[in-house]
Amino acid sequence: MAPSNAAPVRPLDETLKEYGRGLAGGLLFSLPLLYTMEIWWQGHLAPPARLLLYVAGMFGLLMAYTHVAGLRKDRSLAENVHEALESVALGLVVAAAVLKVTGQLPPTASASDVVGKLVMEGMVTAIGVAIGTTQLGTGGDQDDADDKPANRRGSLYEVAFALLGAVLIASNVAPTEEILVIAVEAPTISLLILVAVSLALTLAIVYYIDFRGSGRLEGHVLTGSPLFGGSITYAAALVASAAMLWMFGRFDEAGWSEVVRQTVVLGFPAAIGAAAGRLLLGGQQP
Amino acid sequence: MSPENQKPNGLEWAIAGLGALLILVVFAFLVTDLVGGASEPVRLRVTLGAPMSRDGQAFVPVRVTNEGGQTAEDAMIEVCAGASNCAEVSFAYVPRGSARDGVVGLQAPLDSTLQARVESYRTP
Repeated sequence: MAPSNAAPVRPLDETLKEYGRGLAGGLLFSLPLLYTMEIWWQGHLAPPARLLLYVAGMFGLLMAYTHVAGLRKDRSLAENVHEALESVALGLVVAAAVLKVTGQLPPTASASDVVGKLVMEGMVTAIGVAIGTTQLGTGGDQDDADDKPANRRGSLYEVAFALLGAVLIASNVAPTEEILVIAVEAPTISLLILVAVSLALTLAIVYYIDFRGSGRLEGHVLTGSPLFGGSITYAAALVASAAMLWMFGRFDEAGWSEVVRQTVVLGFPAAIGAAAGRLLLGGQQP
Repeated sequence: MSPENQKPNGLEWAIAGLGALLILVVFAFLVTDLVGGASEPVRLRVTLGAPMSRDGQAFVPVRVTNEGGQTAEDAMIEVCAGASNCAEVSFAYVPRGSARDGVVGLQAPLDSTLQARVESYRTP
């Protein structure tokens, strides 16, 4: 339902509080990334085409999130774009401020270096802003939760939440050298165990340990079933892991074995993020 | 980010406009970069500053600028004042179009003209 022309304008103090929560969320979720030099380096190492895809992909995730879990009841495309753009603006400003204060945008840096760093850091921070805005509030409007489209349990939305959670958690370690070191040094049997543990943790978090929000999935045709739901969540974690590793150049000139092993290693934290993301980002339990 | 049944206020429109502008600028920059091409090889130019004497050493400021189209990784610069008075400084990354600063310490006094050369670098 689009707001009518007669609808009142939102009070400024409420907007400022939302932005405050957004800024807090951006810092809370993204500060480890803002302090990680491998991310800075990707700003000038990643080719322009890859950065473009990254911006488009992250904006798509933001749109999916604001569509399902945004503050507005109106879920029109225009509203989603508006909300996502606000998150992007705040995310880029936070990233620019932190990078500047920490000396990572020196006067000798070229425009491509600056843009690359801001894109790499700002888009992840924008997701933190969006999540902070919606999840860090006092919950005064929770009575309306059932009316929100967040509780329309579409499988596509569940996958989007899983991807968001995976990106949010695993992006902290995705660009680091340690993922490659573990991937090449761990014996194959260890990686198989890691797959089993990742899947088991996913199932446990989503279905068996009464994690906050897990009741929301009951009765869902596809994602409500542990077998399918767990597999979908872990698959989303692996897809997110592969995408992040590719983005950070970890697949460049790597053989298939190295690609798969790195994906499995990063898939462990990503699976935890995906499982928790599905429940925590997807709204409250009705 | 306004809740239901309320219209966005001026600040929200301004922030959303800023977000749209930033996205457009980033896209325009990256597309220009993509079309313009960044396939030129690394081209490092080294410039030396005035030496500063301290504690029997001459400290020479070094600036390396990458005028090529690719990032140079682990760039090693050697600065010499004569055949036996040399020092090196390395830079983890020198992105295209960017410059990095460093300092090398040589034995003072400097008897010969300062000379700098790029010893090595890697391309990512």
